[in-house]
Amino acid sequence: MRLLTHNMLINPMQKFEGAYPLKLIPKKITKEEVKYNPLFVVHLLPKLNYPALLYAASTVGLKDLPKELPKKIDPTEHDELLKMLHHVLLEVHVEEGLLVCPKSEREFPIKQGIPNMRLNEDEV
Amino acid sequence: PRTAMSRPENTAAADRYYNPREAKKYSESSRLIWIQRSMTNRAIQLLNLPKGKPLLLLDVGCGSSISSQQLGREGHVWVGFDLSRSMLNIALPRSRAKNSTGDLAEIDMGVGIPCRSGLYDGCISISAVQWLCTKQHPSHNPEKRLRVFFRSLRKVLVFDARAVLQLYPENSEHMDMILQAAHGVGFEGGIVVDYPHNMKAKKFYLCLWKFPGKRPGPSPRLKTLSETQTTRKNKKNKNKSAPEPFIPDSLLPPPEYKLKMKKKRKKKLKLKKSGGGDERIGATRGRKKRKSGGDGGYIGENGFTSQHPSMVGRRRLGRRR
Repeated sequence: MRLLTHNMLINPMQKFEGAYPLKLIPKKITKEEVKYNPLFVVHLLPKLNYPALLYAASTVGLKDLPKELPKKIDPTEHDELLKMLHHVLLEVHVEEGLLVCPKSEREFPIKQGIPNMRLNEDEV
Repeated sequence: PRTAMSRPENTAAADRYYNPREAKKYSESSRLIWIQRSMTNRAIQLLNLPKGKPLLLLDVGCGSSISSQQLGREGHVWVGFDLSRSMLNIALPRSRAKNSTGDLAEIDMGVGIPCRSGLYDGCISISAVQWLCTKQHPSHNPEKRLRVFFRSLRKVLVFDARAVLQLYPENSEHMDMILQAAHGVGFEGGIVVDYPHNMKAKKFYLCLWKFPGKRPGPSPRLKTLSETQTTRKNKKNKNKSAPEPFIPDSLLPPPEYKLKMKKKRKKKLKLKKSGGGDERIGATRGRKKRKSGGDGGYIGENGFTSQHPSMVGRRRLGRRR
């Protein structure tokens, strides 16, 4: 599971829709290279919840990201920042771990890099 | 293709039907893969994505990620959701191949897409949504599950994003149920039917977008289900074995030209047929002969006359001899 995906996931239970971000407890992490495309990172930035990304990056051990994003991102000017974001979003995989809802403490396991967001019959 | 005997969704829920053995079969059949790939290409075309930009796309019911890989090959970043862990396990190495830009998650789409709102630039689904029409568990209410799915899908899409969902509806009731749910939550759009006259090759694509109004780029040819039923004109071609050629939307004539030609053809047909207002006599070419009774009869002051007042006195209509 990439950190980009973690930034998007919420608790599927309708009661706890506002519970975001899910707490990330990684137990095993791998890093794999992905071809850098500055256009994509720039396109992605408005969709991200940046504080949630900062939180997720810190749980994985990446603390180099700036506290705030600059208002206007220029691919040539902020090249280093974009490369760092690319690495954090796309190249870090959480293989084993847990996603925990901050409100209900319900745990969603991550196995082999795939989070299991399925609910039990009584939770639906 | 799904025949009456072989509908997986009437057997068990997707995660139990696609156990490791079935999942393996599905991912190794080159014919199945070919069908899925061609449907994916058509769905991507119907998505009408802005060109040149890498986008964030959703693949619902991605299974072994045959369709998602195609999204990746087009240069986009994708997220695939599926119910069946066995299928996702097959998708796993493919999503981790070098330079792959995809991610997977195990979810039940009938409970909703568990993502924040306004994220995805587009969504495709290949052969998945019909699973929502049947009960795989006693607690399932298909109409509710469909509504929950479509509501959450609409929420997670960007404002001008489209969803193109290829599906195999079991019958017209299911198709109506799906359409009702989609429109009920506020989606605009309808169904595109490819190869409508070939029962085996027929393919349904549900094309949806969030808001009415002018959309950038050419629209897909939307047809309602009734328009795809055989009319007198189409019955001639019904028994042709070769499927209709697939013409991409970019090569089709623009809609205004089509309407014009349609009008012209209609006029010609009318002139051909109308020989008289009266069918008993049979059509006479080019001549608008009006016999007593029949359409166009006019009852004037002098009692019954079959001629319109403006035509009284004229010896005959039609071609001059």
